[in-house]
Amino acid sequence: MQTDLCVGIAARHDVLEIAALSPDGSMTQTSFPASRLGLTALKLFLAAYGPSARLAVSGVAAPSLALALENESGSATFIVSSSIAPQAKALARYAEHTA
Amino acid sequence: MTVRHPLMEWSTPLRRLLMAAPERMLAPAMASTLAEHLTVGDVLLDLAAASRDDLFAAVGQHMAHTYGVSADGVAHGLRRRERIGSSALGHGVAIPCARVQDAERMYVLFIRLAAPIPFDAPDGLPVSELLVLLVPKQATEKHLHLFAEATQLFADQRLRQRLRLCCDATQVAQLLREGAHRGCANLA
Repeated sequence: MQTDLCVGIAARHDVLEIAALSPDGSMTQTSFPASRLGLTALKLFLAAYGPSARLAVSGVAAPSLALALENESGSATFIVSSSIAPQAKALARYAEHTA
Repeated sequence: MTVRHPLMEWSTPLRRLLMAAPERMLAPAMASTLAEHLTVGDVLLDLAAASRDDLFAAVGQHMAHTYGVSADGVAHGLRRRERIGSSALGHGVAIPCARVQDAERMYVLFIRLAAPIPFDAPDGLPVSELLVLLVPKQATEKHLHLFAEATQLFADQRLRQRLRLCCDATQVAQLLREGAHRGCANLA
């Protein structure tokens, strides 16, 4: 399956740090509030890509976050230890290499 | 004879820098994608729509009339996205989004409905304010920043209340732009 987008999500206590890696190799970073509203908005963003996105998640409550995002968006989602890839950019690269 | 105080000597380079490039010194750390793309003409207040289908058809009509983008393409894209899952954020707000094939750039519309409509929101509340994002197929970076900015904006309860009190499109656009710039400073 073609991957349109690789997304790294580093969950902190008050913020979800996001990095998105496009097929052309460009990387962009931003953050969402670590709240129900922030999670809903992140799901809305990912829904536009559906199964063509791959996610790597680490940090606070990573398993439940990964499950919520995978269920909603249908994207392949990987839970990664913070010691392997602590930053959102590194997580996006991790998602790219799992393809 | 001119007496130069040491403080004047020290302050001169800083003064020169400020005068040479004030916008650079005062610019926010990150430009707002939302503020860049939202125009007063794309703020639609008191729009009458009885359902999501009505709403998306009205957005399509507006896009066709204003920008010459296919009305059916826009409405179909929004409906298709909505079938995957509701685009409601909660608090009476939704962010419908579609990747439009023939769009050459990104469009942002703010809509306040004449009456709230059901939207399958996570908090169960009907939706009355919407930020509609229409993005070209290859626009991941701006797409992501728009979502982040919109979330920051609508997480602010005071801003949501102020938006509901605005009487005209100019006020709404200004409030959203100010909020977006503030949100960008937080995101940076």
